[in-house]
Amino acid sequence: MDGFIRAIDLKKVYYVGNQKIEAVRGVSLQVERGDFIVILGHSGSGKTTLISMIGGLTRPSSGNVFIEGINLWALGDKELSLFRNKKIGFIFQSFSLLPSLNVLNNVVVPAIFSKKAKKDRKALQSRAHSILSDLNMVDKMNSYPSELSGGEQRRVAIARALINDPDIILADEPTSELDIRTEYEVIEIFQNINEAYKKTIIVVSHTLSWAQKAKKVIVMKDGLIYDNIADPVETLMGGMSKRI
Amino acid sequence: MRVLRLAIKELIRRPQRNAMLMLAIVLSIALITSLTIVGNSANITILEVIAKTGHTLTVKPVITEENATSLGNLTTTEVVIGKYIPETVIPEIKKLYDKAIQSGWEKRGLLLPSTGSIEKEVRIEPPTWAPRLYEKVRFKDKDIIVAGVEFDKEYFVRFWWNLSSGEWPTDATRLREVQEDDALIGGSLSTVLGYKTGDRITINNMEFRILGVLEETNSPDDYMLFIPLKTAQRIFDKKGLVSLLSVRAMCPQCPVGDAMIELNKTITGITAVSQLDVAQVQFDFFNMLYKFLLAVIISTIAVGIFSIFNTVTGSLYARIREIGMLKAVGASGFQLLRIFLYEQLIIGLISGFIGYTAGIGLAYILNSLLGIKALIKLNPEYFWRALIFGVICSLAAIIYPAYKFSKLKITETFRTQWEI
Repeated sequence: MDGFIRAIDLKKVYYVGNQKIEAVRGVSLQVERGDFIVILGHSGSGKTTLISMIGGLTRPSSGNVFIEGINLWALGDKELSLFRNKKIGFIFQSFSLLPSLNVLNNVVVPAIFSKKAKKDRKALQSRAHSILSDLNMVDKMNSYPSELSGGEQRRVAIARALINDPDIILADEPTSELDIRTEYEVIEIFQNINEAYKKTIIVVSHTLSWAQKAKKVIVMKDGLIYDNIADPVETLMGGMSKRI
Repeated sequence: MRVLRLAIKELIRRPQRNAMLMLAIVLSIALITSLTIVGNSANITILEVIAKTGHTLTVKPVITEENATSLGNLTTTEVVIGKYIPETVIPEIKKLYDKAIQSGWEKRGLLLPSTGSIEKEVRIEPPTWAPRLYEKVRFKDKDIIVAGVEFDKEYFVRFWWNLSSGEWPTDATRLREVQEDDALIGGSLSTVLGYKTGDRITINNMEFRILGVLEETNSPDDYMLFIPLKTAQRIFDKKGLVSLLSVRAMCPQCPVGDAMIELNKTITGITAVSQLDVAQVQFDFFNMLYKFLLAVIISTIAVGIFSIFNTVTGSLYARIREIGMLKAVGASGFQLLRIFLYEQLIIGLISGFIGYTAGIGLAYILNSLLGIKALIKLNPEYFWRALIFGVICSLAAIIYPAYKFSKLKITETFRTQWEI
């Protein structure tokens, strides 16, 4: 297996009191450089846990994640932080922008923790400017999160994910709570990022709209994945779509 | 953007919470600063008295609080008007004093030469006795105190006296004979009456020539007019009477306390006070009071730190998602810890500065209320201490929650966000 990202037999077990919850039950996945993958699934299907394990946020109960051949979970806390900072851009379900910072400063936050970016402040500002320009947010550069619409806040979160020029973008429900028009705008942005910036993107969503734009759709159900399936929508809906 | 700037932005975002955090530290520092300054001023005042009076004993008639005299804004029991010690008693007082001093030395084994310990031998110089007669007179609608003194004796006993202008009626050389119309005027009285060196002043139909103006000493002397004792006894018809006897022992280790006890025990109608012992008691009392108040304040600070700890912990909980986001985008535990510590460091420094400033203000008020005469001395050390104390209090309150939150797992911070 030569995959850019390789997840091997990932399992995650939680305990709530005495109750054992198997969130992910042995998932193996291979993602190639430049892929645009959408993981679809109902709430509680384990998709967020899976993307967290791939992104180095949640330690798996068993199994391994390799990114460019590096065993992510064999890294120490500091190395893992640096790896995330350099290689992965995260877009969270809620926007998680810092209210005390304006758009430009929110975008450059990941660079504060990067040794490389610290050295060239001007280049960083210029890069942030360029990304915000691509996302049509230049005129809002000095605005604060509270002054932005939901779609605009999402775009700032996307720009922040791109600032350190990571190879991988991981997004958890990036279009939740958005109206349909804004949702399509955001999906288009992701498609552009994949094509123009050549980023490997893994999006987790329960919205079917993503299925049309992604290069590959994976369905997750009860902690297991179903890929290479003929009709992901039907798999996800469990026969409901035909009845509809 | 740097970690420090991020910390500053976070501080600015929550002004009210931070103001509340600072308030506890500011109050503590203000109390400690003012207490230290006031304590020092009080000690300086007492030490000045000790330095000035040395081993001086004063003997005066027994008085009650009713005999207290008002001089300007100063009320004192040192100046007794209307009660006297007959000069005939003075030889007995002197005799008792000498005897007590000698027996005090003997008790300590210091008078007689002892073989092999020559350094223990002490030469006793005769003490200087300076009698005074006090009378209150009405002068230009003001009550003033006229003190009859022996200038050559006063020159030795009140060795801290300095002239702001003019000359001494006599000095150690005794080249000039004291004239019966010679006068010195206290610094405050000179200002109040508008009299200066060379002016003439008439008291009880006798004209005096002001030879010099004394520098202020923060003592009742500032409010007095000094004339020769014999002249005073004559013009006030108090022949053979004195109001006060000051005795300056001429050796640094003289057992004046022993003489004080002996005089108080033996002669009725007089009271002897050792200035050094009084000052020492005051000094010890102030130090004890200072230590007690410091302990109270430190206990209060401990409670304050606990309250800051709770507030800070609550505030970090409120920021838990942001903390998770920062960790996810690559902040290490140490970098997060730095953000939290920078925030508290700034709070500590600002609190230290405000607390120090407030402390000085409070010290001025307390000094004025307590009637402490020594000027407030602003020691740079207090400033640095206030800053360091502010930082320590501030950091002490956050170090544990900051460490815990910096070590949080990302999934713990996102529990409500990243679904299972």
